[in-house]
Amino acid sequence: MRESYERSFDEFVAARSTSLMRIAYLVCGGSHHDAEDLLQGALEKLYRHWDRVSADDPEPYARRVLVNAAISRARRRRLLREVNVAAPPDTPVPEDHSVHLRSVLVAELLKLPPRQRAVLVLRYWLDLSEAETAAALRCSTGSVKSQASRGLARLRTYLDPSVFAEVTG
Amino acid sequence: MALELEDELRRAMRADTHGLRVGADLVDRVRTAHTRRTRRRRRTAAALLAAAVAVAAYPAYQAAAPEPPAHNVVSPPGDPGARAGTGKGVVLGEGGAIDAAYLPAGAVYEGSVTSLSDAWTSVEGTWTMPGGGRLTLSILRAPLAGPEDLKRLPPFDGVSSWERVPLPAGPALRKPDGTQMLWLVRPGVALHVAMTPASAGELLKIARSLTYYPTTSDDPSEKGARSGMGPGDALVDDFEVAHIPPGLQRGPLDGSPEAGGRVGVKAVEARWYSPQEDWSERGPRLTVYVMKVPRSWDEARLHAESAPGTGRPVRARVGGEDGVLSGEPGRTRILTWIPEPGVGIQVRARGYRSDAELLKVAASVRRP
Repeated sequence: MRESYERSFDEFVAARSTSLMRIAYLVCGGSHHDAEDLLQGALEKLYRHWDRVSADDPEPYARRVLVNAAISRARRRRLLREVNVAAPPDTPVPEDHSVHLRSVLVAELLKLPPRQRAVLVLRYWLDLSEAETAAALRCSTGSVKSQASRGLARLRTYLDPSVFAEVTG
Repeated sequence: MALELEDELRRAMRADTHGLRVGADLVDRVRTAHTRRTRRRRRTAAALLAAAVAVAAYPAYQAAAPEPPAHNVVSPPGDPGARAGTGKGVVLGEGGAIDAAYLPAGAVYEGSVTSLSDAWTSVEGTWTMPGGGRLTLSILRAPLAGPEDLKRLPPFDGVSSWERVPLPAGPALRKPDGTQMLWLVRPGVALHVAMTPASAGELLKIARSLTYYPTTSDDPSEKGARSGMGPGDALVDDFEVAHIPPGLQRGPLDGSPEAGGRVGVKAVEARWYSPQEDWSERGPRLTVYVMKVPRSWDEARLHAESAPGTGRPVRARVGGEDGVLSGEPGRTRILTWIPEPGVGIQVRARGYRSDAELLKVAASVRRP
């Protein structure tokens, strides 16, 4: 029994750790080191409760632990960065290449407050529904909607509309 | 434009994380960290216990003063001595269940915590006393052959002096300041009572009132031999489950903050399973959650919070209450309801062709 317990955990890590690492990287603010740290902590917690969570799909549980740990860590470190939406940066997005747009988008995504960032990652990277996102973050769907809306609005603020329209065609 | 921004954001995230990979030794690091953490917790528990004893010793002079009158406590008519006997508590663990026939008046149950380490496991229920002290009742499992082995349990190995006190279950060890009692109820299982600030008389009275019920899974000889029903098996938090499908036996109970996995509220989780099956196999299994929820929640809200994405929910009736039934027919079926404001129950049954067993179990959940 112990052997199958260990084996199934190994298989899960082998199959899903890269995906979870990417989520960790995005929700923790783009630090590879922090992402690895978060992922290890989340997997350790998953390992502790593996007998219970492995019977169903363990990934949502792992994801939830990961995202909430990232938010808690950001709060502890006082990394909540309130961006002044009324004053977009003076430097517009470079005009000529979608790669630049994407790098700016990611850079601005990583500057969002952790909860807003987590909502955008869960909704638009993992394509979770509003209800699934709410369950992962332990909040209401209304909160998910408002956080997603604010997050997108902030990203939009940093983009020169004409450039954005040109790049996305 | 909103749609384009979202699509572009997806592409940006994909591009930015494309090259990320985890180290090949990740699993090993996880296991090593897990081992270290459990050892650290064990050491911390010992340190905290020592600190609690020290704190309890400080107000010892207060124990000699007359006890202040109890406020906000209504004495029942009749025997004045019965006033204090109004409390009742249950602590459940993998090693069994404790039923406390006596708790001091005004004690408020705070919850239970499961702790695991390499050498022992414990489930600890905590009550807050009206005066601000705490009471904990714990079930400890460790390689214990006799009473003397109790002194070697990690939380107590730094305590040099114990006195022996007779209890119906056998001799108990008591700290001279009356803050803790510890005794063996069967090989491998001990009960522990701690109270701060301590009142030696109260502690002894509580200890004498405790009844221990082993779970069937605690006794290998009983595995698979019966339907799994015993006094300890039937209790989940403050509720009992009067009907358990034949062939299932009690599995682990989890009162930790993570109990319920995806349940976002405080929960106690109990499982029953087929002894022929591994946990991860697809055999019959029953899970009962007792959840503390906001009083404003109804069954639909509880279902949405605790079982999202489990198929189209339909309405059901449970013991006169409205419930929500969801899940895939033939696989895991989930029934959620609110038996009283602030309390949610969820029963999950897996491996049954119909909902008959699930509904029978749900109808049998009640306060003892």
